Formats: sequence, structure tokens, C-alpha cells
Amino acid sequence: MNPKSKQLGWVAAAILAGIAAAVAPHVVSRALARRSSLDVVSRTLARRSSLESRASEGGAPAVGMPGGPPTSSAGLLQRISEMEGRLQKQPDDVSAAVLLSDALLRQARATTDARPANRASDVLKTVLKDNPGQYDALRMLGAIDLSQHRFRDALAVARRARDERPADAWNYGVMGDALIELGDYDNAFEAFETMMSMRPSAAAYARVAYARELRGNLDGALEAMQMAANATSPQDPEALAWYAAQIGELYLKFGKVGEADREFRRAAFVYPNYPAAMIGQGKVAVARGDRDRGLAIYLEQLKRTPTLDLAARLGDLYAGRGDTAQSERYYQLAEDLAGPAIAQTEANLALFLAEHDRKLQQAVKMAEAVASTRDDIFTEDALSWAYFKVGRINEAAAASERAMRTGAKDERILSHAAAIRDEAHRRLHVVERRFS
Amino acid sequence: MKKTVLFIVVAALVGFQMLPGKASSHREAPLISQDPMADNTDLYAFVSPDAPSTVTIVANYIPLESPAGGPNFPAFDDTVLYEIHVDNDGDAKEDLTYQFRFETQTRNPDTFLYNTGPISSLSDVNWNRPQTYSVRLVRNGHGAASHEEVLGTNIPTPPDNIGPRSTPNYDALAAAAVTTLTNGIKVFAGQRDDPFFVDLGSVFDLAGLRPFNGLHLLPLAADAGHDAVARYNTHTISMQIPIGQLVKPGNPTVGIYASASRQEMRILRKTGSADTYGPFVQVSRLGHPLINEAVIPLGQKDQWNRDDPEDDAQFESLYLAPEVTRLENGLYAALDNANESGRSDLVAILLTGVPGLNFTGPRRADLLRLNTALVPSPAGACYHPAVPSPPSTPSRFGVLDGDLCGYPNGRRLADDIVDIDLRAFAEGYGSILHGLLGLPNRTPNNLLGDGVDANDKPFLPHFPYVPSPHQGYEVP
Repeated sequence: MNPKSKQLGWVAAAILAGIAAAVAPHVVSRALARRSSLDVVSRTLARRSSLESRASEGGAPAVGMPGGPPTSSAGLLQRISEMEGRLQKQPDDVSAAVLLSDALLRQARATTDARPANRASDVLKTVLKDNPGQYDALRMLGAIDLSQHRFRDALAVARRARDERPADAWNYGVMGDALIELGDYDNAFEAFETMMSMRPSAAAYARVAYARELRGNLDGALEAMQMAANATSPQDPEALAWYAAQIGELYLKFGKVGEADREFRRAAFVYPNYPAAMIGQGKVAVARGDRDRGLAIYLEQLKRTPTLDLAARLGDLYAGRGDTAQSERYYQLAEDLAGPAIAQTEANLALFLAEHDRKLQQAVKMAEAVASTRDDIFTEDALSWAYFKVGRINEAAAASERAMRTGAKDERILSHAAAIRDEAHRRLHVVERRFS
Repeated sequence: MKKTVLFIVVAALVGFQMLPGKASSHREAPLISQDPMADNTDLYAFVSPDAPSTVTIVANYIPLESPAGGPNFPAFDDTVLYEIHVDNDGDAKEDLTYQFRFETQTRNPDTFLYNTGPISSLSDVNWNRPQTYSVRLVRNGHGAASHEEVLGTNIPTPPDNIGPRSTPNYDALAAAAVTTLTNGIKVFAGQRDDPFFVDLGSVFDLAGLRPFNGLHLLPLAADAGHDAVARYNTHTISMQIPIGQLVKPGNPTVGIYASASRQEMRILRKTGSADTYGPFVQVSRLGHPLINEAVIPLGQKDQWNRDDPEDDAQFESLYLAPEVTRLENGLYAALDNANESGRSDLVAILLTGVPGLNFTGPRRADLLRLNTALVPSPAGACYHPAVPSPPSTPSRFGVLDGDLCGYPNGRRLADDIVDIDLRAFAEGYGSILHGLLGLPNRTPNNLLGDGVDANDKPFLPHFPYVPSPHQGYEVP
């Protein structure tokens, strides 16, 4: 049997289905007028189709969907090469662009490499130039914008898509994700609640989990993230690995290292070398006092996914051993890995610099620049710590207040806040002594 | 300078190029969540040919399971509420709701493997992820007087069919999971061959029907149909229920639908309570086959799935002027153009039942209606007396061929839904229904079909009727 037709569709989806949704009489008459132009008909078909439709995409289900390739690393590569092939022949093939973007987005997450998402962005913008109203491409673009940290763009795109199809839960997910990154928590949570009430799903459970975590409800976060893992298809190992790693991180926050270890190993079992799984296992090793193993895991992972975070962790481990030269090398690498694009949208470089007493004035400037574009608690935390390190305690205290406003029980935010508060008290005490 | 050198050295050592982009966001949760475990694929209901005082209901979930889908093998979802709803008085509200909840154990927490040796029985310790379930019956689901009864707990399911090493003697394993509840209801839940058959590959290619390729607007050489669902598995929940427990006296026709629901979770706890869960929300339902696909447009699918059949009057216009018929007319010039509006025939078949056969009243509702008074022969057929020299075997065209024990009077596993629907939507009802009910019998519309006429595996002659699943080892 033709392997492609084997992949098709969804059991009950058959019948005239996708086509029913797709070919309107005017299409037929157009095709009649140009009998040879099958491509016109199929393009129109593609325009009407959607990832959420079982009978969509000329029959091809999205990656990770029943009948589609799994989201394993091989499955993602297979889908990417198929769809790149289709786009080479026909650059405005909307369904190919959407399916490709979906696979690229997952690959970006599974490799912590931004280039797949950049490609997705280009492809979607190309098809949207010809068909500005193409809903599936628009909807997907919101997700890609998020992945590239263009939160305001993502929000605008998602709102446009929401206006077009108010009953599509997806758009509330994108809106909520963008709002959370921008620090507009009340509206973000409302979007997530809307998403949930429209259709409880793994995506909605995961967002409620994060919202609960931000509100300091770690038990509830764990419960919801487990629901998300439960609700995920076995065909979707990439998402399964993502959820398992998140559960592992939550267990680490509880200090339940054994449970965390199991979840990180589970993630690595379903998706070999999944970055969050490998890094999680490194964290578990360090938490158990096995710093050598932690170091080995981080070094190995750095080869696959070089990130600021990993380099900084390695620097810290070498520093803990008293190996200043190595530690300095990795700290330097961490700085290099941040990259200008990331430094403008994320305060993590500023935070790294502040935590490691490097280029502190620059750290303040960077954090301020990021904080002028977003008001989330992690940016505020970085800002507060940069201020603290340069002795601007009042500003540090104000930023720290903002970082604690959701009630999140984030160890880093809380410890920074405690240090800032102590320093403020100490100074107050000094002042009082002077005047007494 | 030193920094650049180090950078290059590290880059060379570890073999990567510097990337312009971002590190992974720790908060980028997946957005796409098609939900196969909470997705109804098909529903069947028929008077059991080998036990004619009972009705068998088969509700399938999880589409297109690839038999070799390891290491994560499909299973029912412990957090989903699976339900089979029965209306037995024609008001389209459920009178009997059978609820299925699953529970998965992990026998060995030290491994993520499905099994660590051959699974020779349902209690074999080599099977690391056994799943059991409970069945509850809720009466008058919507009414104030509803009450619940536990029909069974801790009922076993068979494992998935992995291969000759992991699951030898699979049929015996599966048979051991057939359970009779205290009130005489038989139940089975587990992986099965997907009994549906259809040429998706051609149908999705602009409504192509390979045997009629030459007649398509964009003609191709005619060809035999290809069953796209062949060699795929699904998960079945089936029940065999004594008819007396199902119907109300004097009212032999029941309307049935199956559903899957997921529970809402809230961000904040309600003040003063630990209630972080909201209500169950129906995310999938199925009565007649192919309604969600062929009748309900994309933008309304979530809403349609969430609504109950009793509210289906809102969708009536989609049945009266079906897009499928417009397509048939437009793509196949050789067909005698069927009416594209005013299709009260489809409203009767799909929303109210056919008068004289399985009519349940004027209330519009997508329910699979079964007249339990029509008793099949041991072979499973029951032809109308007007059928000249009826065969002894059931017809895949069901009622279209005068075999009243087939679709749309309930639905048997072997009923050829695709061909029946193609003909009905094109008003090619056949001579028997033309004679009996005056339904139009356009030609050659009454010959339409996708060329796939039967399932790839023979059905079992006894409960649960759906054949054992394809084995991963054999089907790559």
C-alpha cells in the first residue's frame, strides 16, 4: 500500500470529509474552467484545511497525531524533509508551511536551537504575504513568535486569530503565554481559564500548572502537570518528554530528588538526549552531592545544546572545586553564548552577570532595557539583583517587591529578596545609629 | 582576544556552531494537543446474532494506533471519563449512562518498559503497566432523581499486542479479559483491530473514488480501493446488555451515543475548599459515523463535541443542505444531480430515525438508533419481506439492501458506512427503499462506492466480535 495513504486520516474522518469542508462549488467551477490546474484546487483545499481538522492538510495529519509521524527525533526529521520538499516545488503551499512549522517548532524545543524556528517564521510569512487571511498559518505564526520571544507580536497575532475564530482554544493559549512573559498575569490567567473551559487538554493543563506555580501553589502545579502528561498521546514523545522534565523540575523544588530523577529518566527514555531531561539528570546528580557526575553530564550536554545556562552551571561546578581557570573559561563562554538577540529580550545574561559579579554596570543597563519591555517576575528579579550588586538598594527593593508579587515560591527570587531586605535593614540601622 | 580564542576552541571541541538565537524558554509548553485517548472513532450497536436477547454496543477510541508504536504503547487514559449513553424514551436525554474509568498500575517502578518478559496471563508480573477499570451505571443522568450503581470494579484489560515474545497466545489473553458483571452484562475493554474500512487516500484526494476515477472531474485510471485503516488498531469498550435492561416496555427502539470527557482544572483553589477541579467537559462524542467529519464544519467542531445530542436541532440546517452532496454533484458530472437542499431524508435517517424502522420522535438528535425488536438470523441478517429471494448473509449495504438489522438501524461491524453514505447523500437509495419508502433512487448514484468493501481481518463470531489487534512484530 502506498505509505502516504496509510498515514492518512483518522478513522472516522474518511468520507467526503476534508473535502466537504474544503471544496466549495465555486472552486469546482474554477477547476472546470481550468481543467488542467489541479494545483488550484488543491491549493484551495489546503487553504481551507487546518491542523485541528482531522481530515486536514490534504489528508496528512500533523506530526505526533494519529497516522502522522511520531515526534521522535527521526519523525521530526522525516516530516521536515517531506515538507521542505513540497515547499521547494510550491513555496506558497500553505498546508506544507504549517506542518513544517509545527515540526520545526518542536525541533527548536528539542534542540534548544533557534534556527528551526527562524525557518518556520520565514516560511509562514511567505505564505501569509500571498494569503494574509490564511488562518492556520496565522495561528501558527503566533506560536513561532512566542518561541522567538517576540511576545508583543505573538499577542497581536493571537488576538487577530482569536477574533477570526473565537472558539479555537489555541489562540487563548498563545495569548496567555505572551501575557505571562510580559508580566500581565491577571489577563494571562484569564486566557488560560478560557482555554481550559473551552476544551480541557494537555496544553491547557500545562498552562494551569505553570499559573499555579507562579501563584506559589507547587502541589497544585505538580498535579496539573501530571494531568498534562497523562493527556498526551504516546505518539508524541517530544511533548511527553517536555512534561516529564517539567514534573522533574517541580519535584526538585520539593527536594524530592528520587522522584525528580525518575521523571528526568522517563523523559530521556521517551526522547533520547532530550535537553531538559539531560540537564535535569545533571541537577539530580549535583543535588545528591555527585558533582563529578553532574559535571560530566553538563559537559556532554553542552556539546549538543550550548546554552548560557549550561555554561554557567559548569562554571559554578568548577568554581566549587576551586578550579578558577576552568570556571572563568565557562563563565566567559556563558557570556558569549547569550548572543545579542537573547540579551535584548531576556534578562538571563544580566542575571548571570549580577550573580557572578561581572560587568555589573552593564548588567544593570541590560536588565533595565529588558524591564522596559516586559514586567514579568523573572525580569524584575534580575533587575533587582543587578541593582543590589551596584548598591542601588532602594531600586533593588522596589524591583524585588515586583518580583514577588505573584507569590511564587521561587528559591532564587526569595533568596535575592531576603538579601536585599537584609541589606536595606542594615542600612536603615546604620542611618538610625548615626542619628541617635 | 583570549575570549574569542577560547570560544573557537570550545566550539571546535564540542562541534557546534554559535547560534544566533535563544536558549530554550523554560516555559514553552506544547500547544498542539490533539487528544487521541479522548477521541471517539466509531460506535456500533446491534442485536447480538448469537445471543439475540442482548444488544452489543462497541465504542471505539484512539484512532490509527500503529501496532509497532513502542516504546509508549497506547492505553485508555486514567483521567478521561468514557461513557456510553442510552436514551430509551425518545426525548434524546440519556436514561442510562454507562461510565468507564480506568486505572493503571506500575508494577515495577524501576523500569519504563511496558513489559520485562513474556506476558502469559493478565496477572503476569512481567506486565509492568496493567490497566483495570470500573463500570458504573447512572440512571436519569440529567434528572434530579439520578442515581448511581457500581456494576463492577477492578475489571482486567488485556495488554496491547506487542509481539510473539511479549504477548504469546494473545487471543487467550484477550479472552480472559471478557468479564460478566453481576447483572448479566458482559464487558470487554482493550486494544482491538480497527474494524472500520475506507479508502482515505483517495477520498482525501478531492473526493476521489478509485473505481470511479474515470468519472471524476479530474479523471484518473480506474483502480481498486485501498483500505487506509487496514493494519491499524484502536481501543474498544464493548458491552453486551440484556435487552430487558436497555429498553422501556412498549418502546423497543433505543438511541445511543458514546463520549469522552476531560475534567477542568482551575488555577486558583476555591476559597475555603480544596476543590481545584471543575466539571467534566465532553470533548468528543459519536452517534452516527462521520457526522463530525462530513457534516459539521471546522469552526463548529469543538462546540458540537461539547454539546449533547438533545441540542442538535441547532445543527439541522447542515443536514438539510449537506456540503457532501454539493461536492458529489460538482465533482462527478456523470451523476444525476441530487437535491442540495431540503434533505429531510437525511434529517430522518440521521436525526430522528426512519418512520416504521427506528423513529424515536420529532426531537432532533445525533443518536445511533436501534430497533431491538428486529431480531437477526444466526448469520446476523434480517431482510424485509419485500426483498425478493433474500440471501442468508447480511448485506454490507444494510437497510439500503432491505437488511433491516444493519445501518442505519444500529450499526454492525461489517456495514459499509462509506458506500451507504455516498449513495444516501447522492439520493441513490436503491430500488428497495424506493419501493418501500418512496426515497429517490438516482442512477448511477446508487452504484457509488470507494472500492473498499470489507475489513482487513474477519470479525469474531462471538463477543466482543471485534478481532484481536495487529501485532507490532508482524506489522511494522
